[in-house]
Amino acid sequence: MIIELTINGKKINVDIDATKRLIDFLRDDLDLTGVKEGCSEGECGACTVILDGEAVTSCTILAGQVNGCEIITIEGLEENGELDIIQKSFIENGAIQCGFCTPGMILSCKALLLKNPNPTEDEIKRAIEGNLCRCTGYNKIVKAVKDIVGKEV
Amino acid sequence: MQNFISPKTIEELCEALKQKDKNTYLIAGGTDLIIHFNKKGIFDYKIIDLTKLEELKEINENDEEISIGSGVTMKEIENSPIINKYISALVDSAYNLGSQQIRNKATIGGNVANSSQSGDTLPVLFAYDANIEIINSLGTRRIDKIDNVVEGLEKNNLNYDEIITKIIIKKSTSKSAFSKVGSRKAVTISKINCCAKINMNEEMVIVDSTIYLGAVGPKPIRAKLIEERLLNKSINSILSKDIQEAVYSQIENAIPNRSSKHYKKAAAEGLVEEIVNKLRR
Repeated sequence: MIIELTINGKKINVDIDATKRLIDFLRDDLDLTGVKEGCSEGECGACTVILDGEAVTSCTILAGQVNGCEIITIEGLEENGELDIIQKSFIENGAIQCGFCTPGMILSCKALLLKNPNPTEDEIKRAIEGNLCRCTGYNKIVKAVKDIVGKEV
Repeated sequence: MQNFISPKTIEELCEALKQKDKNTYLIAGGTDLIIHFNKKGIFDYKIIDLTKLEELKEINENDEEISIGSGVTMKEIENSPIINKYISALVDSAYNLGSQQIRNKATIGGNVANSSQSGDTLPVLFAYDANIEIINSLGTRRIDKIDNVVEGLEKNNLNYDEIITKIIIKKSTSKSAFSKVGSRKAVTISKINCCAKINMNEEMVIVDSTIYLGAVGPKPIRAKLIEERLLNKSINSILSKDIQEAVYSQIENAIPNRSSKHYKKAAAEGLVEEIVNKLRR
């Protein structure tokens, strides 16, 4: 099946097996390996991408379902070699250790900030409740987001 | 049929349903279906995708009813002014379901069709005695009670060529609330959940109550003993000790042979207390 979608700002047409999972399409067909596979059942958030402005787990969506949609993955945040403000804040705050949860975590935060540039601490925690991190203990992640509240994302 | 069809109109949907075989699955949010594929090791399947059907995404009201399209997501329920105004318990249940990512995709129609014993919107739809509109491959629509549609333990009464199109709820001035308990605070599957829908007079005395408990049987059960205990009491004077005995008996009746009953008695008492507090809001 041929589908058309916008991926990280670029419009593409691809002939794909529409019944494969979105995560497999992104990783295997488009080589966007920043999308990580953790639990494969929508619990851990490692495979989070932004689909039409909303954070979603790409392991519980089929590729054919994104026909006509817009997707942002972690690869789409950097512009002209410069990291996104959220990525910088994660680095500055030490909100990364092993890094496996980081792409999903950052995209959940990005989806929140795109809708709500001034989130409260509770709103930040709610936005990342579906992203598991076993290293940082979450405090530094929440602080990384709080540091850029109100700034241009 | 092709292995992936995304009907955009009801006519296209009926066409797809005519070609449906036992290897064809319906997908909306996908948050239950794809996990089902993983668990059962299903790799070879055909798909009818319901997410491009605009008709299923509408929330409408008229003088008597509210109709919620089966493709409406938990996030849309949470943000709907109509549902916030008339069905607070449904907002509670959607607000606490899964994670942000799940709520962005999971649909109310999927929660009904999946008919899990832990389904969070189910006790609410049972308490409101919701009507479910169903369409078949010939385009014929029928309406059935939620209690008939949901058989529990992931079984429903839909024929192989039918899908849920709408959930219809009668408008009322009832107040309602929902609470749940799982093994952790957020992103948790209910070990027990509860919905109460009540009517009060001017003195805040409960004159009518409907209470359903979920996850203490294949599908939500009506908690008559707790309902009776709340009747004719002022919402502001209900204490935990007043309801404890009724809650314990209700759980004992529901799951007499389950070792989890001891835990669920205490959990249900806390739930009912939390719900009574929410009903004061």
